[in-house]
Amino acid sequence: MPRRKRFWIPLVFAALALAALAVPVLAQQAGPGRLEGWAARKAAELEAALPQVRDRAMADSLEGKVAALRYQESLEATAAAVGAVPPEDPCALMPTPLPAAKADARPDGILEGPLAVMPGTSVEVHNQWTGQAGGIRLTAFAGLRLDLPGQGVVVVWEDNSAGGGEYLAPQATGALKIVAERQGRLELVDEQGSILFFDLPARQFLTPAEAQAKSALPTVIPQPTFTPAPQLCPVR
Amino acid sequence: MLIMRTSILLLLTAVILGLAIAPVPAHAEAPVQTETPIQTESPSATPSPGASATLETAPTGLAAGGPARFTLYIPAASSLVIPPAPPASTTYYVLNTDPAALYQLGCQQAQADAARPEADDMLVILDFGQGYSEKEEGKERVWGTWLFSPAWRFISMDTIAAAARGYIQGYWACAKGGDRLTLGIGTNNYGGYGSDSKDPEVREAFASEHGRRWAQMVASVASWSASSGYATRVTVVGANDIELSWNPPNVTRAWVASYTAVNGSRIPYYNFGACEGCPTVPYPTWKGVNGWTQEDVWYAAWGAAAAWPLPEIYLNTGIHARQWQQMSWYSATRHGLRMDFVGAMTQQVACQQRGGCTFSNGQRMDNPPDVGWRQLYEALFKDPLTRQTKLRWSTDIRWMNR
Repeated sequence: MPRRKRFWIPLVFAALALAALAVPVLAQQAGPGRLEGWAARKAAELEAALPQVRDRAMADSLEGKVAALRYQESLEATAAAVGAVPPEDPCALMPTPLPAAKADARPDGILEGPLAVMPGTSVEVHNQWTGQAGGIRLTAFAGLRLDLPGQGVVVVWEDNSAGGGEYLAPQATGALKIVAERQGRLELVDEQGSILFFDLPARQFLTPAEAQAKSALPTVIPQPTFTPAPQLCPVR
Repeated sequence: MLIMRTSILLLLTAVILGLAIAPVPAHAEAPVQTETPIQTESPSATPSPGASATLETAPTGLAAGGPARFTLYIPAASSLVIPPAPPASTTYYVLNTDPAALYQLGCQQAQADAARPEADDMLVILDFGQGYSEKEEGKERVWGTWLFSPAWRFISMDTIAAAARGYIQGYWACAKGGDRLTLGIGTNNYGGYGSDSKDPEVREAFASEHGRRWAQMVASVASWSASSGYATRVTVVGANDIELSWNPPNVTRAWVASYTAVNGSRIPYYNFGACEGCPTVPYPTWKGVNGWTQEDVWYAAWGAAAAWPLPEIYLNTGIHARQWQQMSWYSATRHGLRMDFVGAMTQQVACQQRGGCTFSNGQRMDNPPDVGWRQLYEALFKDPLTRQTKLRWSTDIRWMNR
């Protein structure tokens, strides 16, 4: 065999070596969820770490977590012993839908309640209005930006559409509250008692002159509406 | 002959190295450094940009107070070690508590999972809104939550439990193969829990009672799931969107302590909150909004026996991931063990539904699920003290259609 060809041999072995290195790394990436008994393995992992932990608070926490994982295992064992079998018809177990009156439909108009948070934002909601404005069904919230001192805000949501937005009051004069709605215009009051107007179809606060003029402002373009997922199980 | 010898030597070296980086039990790792003082500057906690271009193997287990014993660096091979993000599930801000509606959502999730072979282990959280209670004259106080706007009304613990049971039944009826789900029954730490008070001490008492009742409700659903046979597929846990700007730490700590005390903390809760304003570098004297400290955040996300972190990784800049990495670093250096994150939460679809996720400076809060998950994975990976090679779940929150 010509000598130069033999130089490939170490390269082949080197490739094998890299593969040997990769196996344990890839094995770690396999993810516990791919396998059965995640709770048992996690409990064992925490128990193995426990003797290393000198911090009392951390050790107590770990012991509690291990106990919870063991309990989870016992619940799974209980369920397995029941041996329940899913029905042929996936809709067979669906509860009877509640009458509309008991469901979560809310009346149109101004709705009062406790201060509420709008998750994923820094908006604290003080009250809301729901109805049709500019041919679109929407909800407008009035409140405060928690991250901007004294900054009032109006947030508009269109039902199942991305056409909403957040609109800061012209001055940071405290939280806003809706006191009335007339022909698509919200009348709001801030913490200093001043009255502000917000035009819903135009999505903007009005200057006093605009509020007096009562002329229509340019309307925002409606956004595409999301198509709700089809109901899998027909209502019986 | 020389070439053959060299090759065999190379192979032997590889095998030895392979053994060295194979998973090792935690007890075989480096001596514990539980008393490591907090450092004000830590090169490992603020890696240079080049640090991401190294591959570093790590043990599968939790590293107690120090990095792994065996470390191998292969320059410019980091892409080999970053695994693909797990498939994302759909988590909900609940606006309709009709069990029939939740049944349909559970069935949808099961059918979606069945269509993806890799989606055999998923997490879904049903977020029912802020803790609340109502009292009518002459009657006992009723505990539950105040649903998010625009639903915006009080619902009792019984209603919440029934809704969760509906989701579990729907999932179980429609699931295929070996698919499994962990269902988090969620609330958040905002407001006065029905106390109608801004006094932190009054709120603390109400939060404490709410935490106790939430744990009892979650435990009852978990127990029902087991006795009905559903727990072969569905694991039930609690969940809480804990945000620092929503209440002072004493109020949230009271909720956590009460929740944890119920049933010996046998039902965990996942903290799917934010660490807004938290530092991204070691900062022992840091104090955040409402007086929160890193110790408070640690307690609510990991230090309490029932707590597991599932952080919101919303911002496209990756800051949220770095904030939580720093919390894990705090845990490792102050308490001797890093945090063990169960996954990452994003809000891409919620942003598409409602907008308002873009700041005037161009930053966005709508990370896609795989991006949020990867940001957290990479942030944790860069420091041996926080490295976590398994990040189980990815979930994206949306508003439920009414």
